[in-house]
Amino acid sequence: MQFSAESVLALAPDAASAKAATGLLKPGRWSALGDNAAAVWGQCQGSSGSPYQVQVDLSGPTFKCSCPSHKFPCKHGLALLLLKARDASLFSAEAPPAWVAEWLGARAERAQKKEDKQREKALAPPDPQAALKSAQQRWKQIDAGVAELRQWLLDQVARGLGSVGPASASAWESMAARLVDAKAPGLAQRLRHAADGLLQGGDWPAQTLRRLGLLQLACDAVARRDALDEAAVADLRVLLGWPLDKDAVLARATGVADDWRVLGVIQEERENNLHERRVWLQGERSGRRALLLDHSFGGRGFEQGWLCGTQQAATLAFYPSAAPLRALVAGGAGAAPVTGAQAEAPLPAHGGAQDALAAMPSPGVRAAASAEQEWTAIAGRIAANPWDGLHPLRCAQATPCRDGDGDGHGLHWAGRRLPLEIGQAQGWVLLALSGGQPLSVMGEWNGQTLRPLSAQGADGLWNWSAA
Amino acid sequence: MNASTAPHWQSLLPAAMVGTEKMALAAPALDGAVGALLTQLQAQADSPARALLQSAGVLAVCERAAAQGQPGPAPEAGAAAPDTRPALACGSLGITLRWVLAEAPVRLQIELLQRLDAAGLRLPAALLPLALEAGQRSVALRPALLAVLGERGRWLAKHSSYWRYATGSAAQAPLETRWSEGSLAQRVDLLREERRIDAAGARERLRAALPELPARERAELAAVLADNLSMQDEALLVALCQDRGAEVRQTARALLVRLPLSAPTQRAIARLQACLTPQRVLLVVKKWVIEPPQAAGDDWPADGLQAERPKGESLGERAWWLYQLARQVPLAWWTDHTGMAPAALLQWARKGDWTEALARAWLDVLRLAPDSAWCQAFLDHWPSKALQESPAAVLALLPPAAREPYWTQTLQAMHAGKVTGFNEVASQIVQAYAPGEHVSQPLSALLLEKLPLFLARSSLRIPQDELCCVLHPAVLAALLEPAALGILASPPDDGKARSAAQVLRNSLQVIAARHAFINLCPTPLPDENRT
Repeated sequence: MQFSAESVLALAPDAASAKAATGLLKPGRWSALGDNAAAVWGQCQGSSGSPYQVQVDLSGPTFKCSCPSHKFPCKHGLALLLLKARDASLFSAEAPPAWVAEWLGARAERAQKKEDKQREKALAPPDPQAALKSAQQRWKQIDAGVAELRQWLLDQVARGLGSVGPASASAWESMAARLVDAKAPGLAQRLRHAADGLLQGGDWPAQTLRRLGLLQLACDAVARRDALDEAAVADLRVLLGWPLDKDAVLARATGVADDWRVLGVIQEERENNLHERRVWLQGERSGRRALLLDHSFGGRGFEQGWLCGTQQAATLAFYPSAAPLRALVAGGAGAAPVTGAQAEAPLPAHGGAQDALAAMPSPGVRAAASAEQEWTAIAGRIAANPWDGLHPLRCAQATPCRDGDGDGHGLHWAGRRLPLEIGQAQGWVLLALSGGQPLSVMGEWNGQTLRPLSAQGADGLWNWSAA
Repeated sequence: MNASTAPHWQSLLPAAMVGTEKMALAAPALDGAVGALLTQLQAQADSPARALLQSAGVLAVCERAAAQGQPGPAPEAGAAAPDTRPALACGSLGITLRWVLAEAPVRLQIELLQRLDAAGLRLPAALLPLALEAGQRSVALRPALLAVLGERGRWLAKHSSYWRYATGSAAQAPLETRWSEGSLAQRVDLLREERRIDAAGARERLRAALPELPARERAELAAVLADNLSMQDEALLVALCQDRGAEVRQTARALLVRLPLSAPTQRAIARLQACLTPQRVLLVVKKWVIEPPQAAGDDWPADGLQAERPKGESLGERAWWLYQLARQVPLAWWTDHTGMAPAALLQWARKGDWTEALARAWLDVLRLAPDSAWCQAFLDHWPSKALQESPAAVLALLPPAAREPYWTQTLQAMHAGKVTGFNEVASQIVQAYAPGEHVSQPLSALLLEKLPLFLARSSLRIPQDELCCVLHPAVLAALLEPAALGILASPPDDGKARSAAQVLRNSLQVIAARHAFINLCPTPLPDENRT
């Protein structure tokens, strides 16, 4: 597998781990380095005692280390992969030692068990009556909460936003808290977001009105959900903070098998030590884009790593949606044999947004879509699911730039300027990499700013990392 | 265009702010499907408030779907000119260089950038921001950095006011602007540069500027005359001997000592000559006798000679006079006039009554105009009773290579029981060599042999990383070898002496970085990212 040192650093759970891993690249730290097609391994000398046994299963990559760190992946695992990226000649190709072979064997066994279990689950779904009843119960609670929110929204506008003062925040918060009680945490989060914007900046009345308007649309959608199709209801449930659980997605979706190119990876820390990871993929053959969204608590990290720029054969199960994007890995390439028909078939009826990209003249990932096609795809997705806020955007032939005297980094693409959401240091690296020449940039577009996750130019690759 | 000030929001906002109870809602007038939808909403809604919220929701969604950044022209800066040099490949050397630029001592940064330059390479694009920041922090790094920035680096530097030093614009500014607007350090540099090319021009520039300058600047700029000093400078120096600033007068007098034919120096020689008399036996000079003046001369103050002893002066009154007289006479006069070699003169002075006065005066003159024969004589016959200073003061005047025998001698005398002096030698060595220079291989080996002995009993005063930067490149591989074998992992606890590689464990990264760049080949390496 070919990957860059930068893409390895992007796997680090935090900046400190990335830095510590780089510090372990000293000579003398490592011994017994070896690799084969499936894994790399080596022993790393810690500050004292016997060296740690470090191994990485390349099919993930998945890490294992005998050190006591609770971070995952730990600095030793990252450093091992960095060494591999930087100088593969350090590794001797040989049969793995017992401690590596055992782990790989155990992993394969576990994966098999998991697959069996999933199959069993699919064969014997939980009691449909009970599930239906519990769902009805929840909808009842949500309906009550949403009715209250509708009235509350009307009151705000009837009285006028001009009466909002510093004391209003607590009233808005208590409405949000009632929405949490009504099992609609997604709406509560949006209301809190609107409350945070009150009296902030000269633009706040229009900004607040936008947010309340979207909440109104959400209320309207809940009220007429019986008229909506299955995909739209699924989007509505995501909006309410009640997404389908993974088993349900795996059980009902048809897998899309493809060679998935990793367009970009980002990890962010949310509140309460919750880490969110977003992996953006695009199928080499289908041209479809997908988002793998995962969360983990503390420094536990994510079991499977995705290296930016690499390609993985996998079968993805898409969450039902009017603009399907989020997906789960349903299995490796072997899980569902790929046929041309299968790659194209699973596009749902509402997948108009995806169609624009899937129908690109050349389905190859390297040939990016035109600006026109990219923007049309985003507009189509918003039309299908108005509440989805984050969109993958690939900008071929885009030139990083700076605002005159300002501090901001921007991207000039197809006659327009997109503000970049990027740290100063990384922004400069991107600018240096371009030298005023266009790059291929992939990022997340939120309607106002683009957060770049990867870039490729004549002078090399760049990707997002916590370091 | 700001989205929130768009007309459709302007029509919704008044009612939203005042409240639909008090103000009628004005529907935004929009064409097409969106306009039709808004009209329909207004007609169907059960209250103006609901119509307003629904309209806002529809507009917000439409806005999002249409958001594509702001129209804007292509970046003004244009593209960087194509680079003629290949960039360093982003592989393992790139990772090493990243660490060096971010965390290593400036000395190592300079050395590696110099090696990059020597190999005909430039910095890889991804490291340019880091390198420009390092140059922003360290002025000493800039010359080495500018050589490897390439077109891309200069182009990038134009984008930040902090990196203006690297755009080449400062150096290209007209000379007169730099002279009139530059900082003192810049003006000293400029004058020194001009002095090398056009000694007379630089002198006239200085002479013209003197009346407007404060004393400190006059002194620093006058000191530049030391380069390419000649009799043509005599008039200006003589004038400066009457300067209001004591520091300026001192600088000018010190420079005049280096002009044996100048009038003040000739006067000084005449004064001293009167004190020195040969004792002859059968017309052959048997012995020189020195006798300080019995009284201060009337013309002394004009030549900066003080009759009165300063407070705390260790010399007696007449010795003080002798010291001042001798301080204004070039060393060459002594050897020419007496026929004695420097070593003989030092021994002669030691036997006489005026040792301290003479030794101090000679050392002062030697500092102004270093002379290797005199330095060697001082080192061989250090008048330790007369001088409070250590021989290091003289050692520093020699070129580094000439100092190696002295360091070698000091180090060789060390053994496990006696390690004093190691710190002095180590810091002298580090100070003596400019970044990118290093001591000879035998001396490096000797340093590494004695270092563990020293560290077993004491600790280094200079940073260990700095010491590793002046070691000869040929000894580096041996320091890395035990590391590669994993021997460092278990330091011996049995009291056995540790190896140099073991005591330098913490500097392993510095050693490895230097070692990695030694064999940087002048031919371009394949760029890993392009393959």
